[in-house]
Amino acid sequence: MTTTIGSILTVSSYFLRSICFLHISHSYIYEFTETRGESMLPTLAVQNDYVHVVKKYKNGRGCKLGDCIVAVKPTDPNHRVCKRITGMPGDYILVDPSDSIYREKSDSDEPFNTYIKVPNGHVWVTGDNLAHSLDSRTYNSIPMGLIKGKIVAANDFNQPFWNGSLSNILGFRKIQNTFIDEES
Amino acid sequence: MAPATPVVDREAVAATLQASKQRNRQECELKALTQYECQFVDLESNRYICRPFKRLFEVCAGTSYETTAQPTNSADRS
Repeated sequence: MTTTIGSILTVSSYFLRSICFLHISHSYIYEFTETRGESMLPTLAVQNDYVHVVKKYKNGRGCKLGDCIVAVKPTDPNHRVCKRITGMPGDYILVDPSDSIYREKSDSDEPFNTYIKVPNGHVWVTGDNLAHSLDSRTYNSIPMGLIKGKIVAANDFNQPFWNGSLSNILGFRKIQNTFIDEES
Repeated sequence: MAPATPVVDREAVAATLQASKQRNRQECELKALTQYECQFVDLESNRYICRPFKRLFEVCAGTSYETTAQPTNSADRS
């Protein structure tokens, strides 16, 4: 009887430790999680796309303009969003220059004349698919404390397991920082 | 939530950028970030078409000033 109780306690102890290890590693080291939605097209697929999130960038530490991040949605703390940082603290950025596309017929210059300065401790984030993204253009810049990590790679499970190369098994690809030198 | 953020116009940003250039006396870098305007052509098969939308930034002394203007993307859309 004592041996049985001892075994149960031992198994429970290892189970509890495993849960704690998973929780700590998910919170502070690394997370592999599914993303959904069309806001990050064409970088991330609408569904069945899984992202590799590095947690050392939590709270925006070491994040740069052009990085893809996972953050808590400011208008709904139960949801998280994947967005690209398009403004760091102190930067002057246009609120919505893509709005000009829908104003092509009018001569309004407003999309290119409406700037904000990103407040300290905040970042401006937008989805790569500007046409279908709910982001800082709607809920303003987000506190860096809401950033949960940086997306460094993704696996698109819509792709076949083997795609001709070891480097893209299961649709694997690196998610790059897209803030690059402009060719003159 | 973010604090209330005042909206400023291009002239105010250009003046700040000019002041930064004079104060720091260093070369600014021109950088680009491309995002997209994607529209679905077939929802069932998840087929979509994306048009690039380039955004330009002048980076001076660690601060980015967006310089995207009407001509920046006009060539892509003609």
